[in-house]
Amino acid sequence: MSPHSYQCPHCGAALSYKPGTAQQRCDYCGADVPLDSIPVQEAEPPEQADLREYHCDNCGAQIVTDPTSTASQCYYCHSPVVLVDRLSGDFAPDYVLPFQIDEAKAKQLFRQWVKAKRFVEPGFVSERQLEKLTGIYLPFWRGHAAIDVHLKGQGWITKRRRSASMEHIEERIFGIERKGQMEISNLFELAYLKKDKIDPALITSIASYDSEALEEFRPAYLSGFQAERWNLDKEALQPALRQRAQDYAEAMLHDLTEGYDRVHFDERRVEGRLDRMEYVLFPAWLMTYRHQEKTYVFAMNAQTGEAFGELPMDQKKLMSWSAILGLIILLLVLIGGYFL
Amino acid sequence: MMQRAVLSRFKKPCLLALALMFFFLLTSLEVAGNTPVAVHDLAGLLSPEQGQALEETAQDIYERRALRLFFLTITDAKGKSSRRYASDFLEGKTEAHEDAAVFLLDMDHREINLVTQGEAIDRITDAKEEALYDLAMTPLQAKDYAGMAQSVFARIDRYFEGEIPQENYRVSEETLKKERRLRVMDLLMGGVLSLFGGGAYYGSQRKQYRFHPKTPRYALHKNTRFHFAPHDDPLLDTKTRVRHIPRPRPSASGGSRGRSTVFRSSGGRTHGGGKGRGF
Repeated sequence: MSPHSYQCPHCGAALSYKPGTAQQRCDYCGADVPLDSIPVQEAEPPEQADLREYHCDNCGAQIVTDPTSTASQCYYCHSPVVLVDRLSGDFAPDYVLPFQIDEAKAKQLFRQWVKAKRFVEPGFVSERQLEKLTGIYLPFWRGHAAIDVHLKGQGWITKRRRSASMEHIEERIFGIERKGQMEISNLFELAYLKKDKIDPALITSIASYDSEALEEFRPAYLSGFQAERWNLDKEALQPALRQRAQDYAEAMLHDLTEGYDRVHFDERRVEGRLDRMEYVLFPAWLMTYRHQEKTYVFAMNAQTGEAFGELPMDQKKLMSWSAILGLIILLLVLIGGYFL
Repeated sequence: MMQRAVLSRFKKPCLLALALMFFFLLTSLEVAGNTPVAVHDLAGLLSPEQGQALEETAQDIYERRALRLFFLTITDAKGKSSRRYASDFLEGKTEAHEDAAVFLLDMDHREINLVTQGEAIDRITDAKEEALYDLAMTPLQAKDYAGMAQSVFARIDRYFEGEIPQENYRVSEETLKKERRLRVMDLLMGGVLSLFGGGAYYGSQRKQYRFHPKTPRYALHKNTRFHFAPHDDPLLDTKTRVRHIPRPRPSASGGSRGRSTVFRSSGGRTHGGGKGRGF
């Protein structure tokens, strides 16, 4: 079974998704091909796809991937490949947020991010290291919750009026009853866990994506990038999503009693459930760097350019600077002590 | 005849050995006391008992304070000033690192003079030196030289109680400026501050380079929709209260307690009052 490689209708070379557009680009002849003009290949059930061996349809070499990878490239001819049969059934994404930041822009943003940090290990910002910057689609679950709300109680509105040395306080008390539903949508949870490789907190930190830019999923968006499929199923993440929906609903209750200075509820019911969950892919630029037996991971939101990660430090340089600063302070104190 | 020859042959070495023994005995007496003799009454103003008592006082102070005190009386300053004579004496009797003071009663110049060294310089300030002279004057005029020396020694002993006050400083006589020097406190403070400063910079930089997790932004209002029936909250009750607002008391004290406003007259003098009041 061959993985799917999108081919240029003009020259036959492999196509990659062009970030920020609805097109694919041929790196060989430079042609831009609309996504709509590319047929979607029929996928096979994922149970069989997991056991398959893939071969590049460009050079025939075997494609080696992690079991959770759904898009990669051929290690021999570097042709982008999409393992479409791994994107079917439960693993078929509902939506994808296409890359908005291309590789050149990601490198530029990375350099800007590191620029102000003078103690970064020089190897971390080398051109050779930047070649390891990888565009990857990460799997998330999107939840939509419905919260039933019933509030019954009193609300107070207080008005104060002053005349000479007297203050007139008028307090009006109203009966309040609110019964209805809150719909809370676009609750996202990372659906991917690789403890030894990437800290989930790092991926979660970059996940401030604007869900309005989500597109219906098309495998062609993955071409030219890496992609992972979920390994945390929706049932496992439902409690966390439900809890978040509940917390958000509690935070929104004051909107229901706007205008009152103080409220008291005799009856208060706020109960939520997840209406539906969708499988979405978000884009990120990732880079790993090995320094002194430790792996440093850099991650960037490929929609907003927001970057996170621990930076490898040039310890000798930092210690020298700290020592110089200490000596300057010592010198200043001694000069001060001598002259004062 | 032969006996006499033998005796005369050994006479010189024996005398030499005896002289040497006598010299060592004398020097060892001073070494055994671990302090040179404190009282040098070259003017012969003290009785042996008074000299001995003063010697014991000086020895006691030395044992407690490691401070060498000398009382010196002279009738002939050998052409030197009192201060020069006292300082030469002190340099002859002590090492440079020792804390010491000599109180000189110079009958030649009819002057008393205190010269200090080491920590005694910092402890016996100019003002204290003057106070010591004041203290000495009364018994001196009564010719109670022993009493004067005892009082001076006792007062110096008191000056050595506790730490040297931080505000004490040295002024060079030539320049009349504060003598510039580094104190142990400066070194300690410099060391602590430099360690703290360098360490704080190192720590803050390390912290900056670490990964700081962030909760993703969530547009709560944008992602929330309300499906509630229109409501019209009924008025249940109205309460009205009237409260008397207490007047703020005029400040009796404010920030001006104890203040006296002054003005300068045309003559240049400073005066108070003068505000007046209309009626």
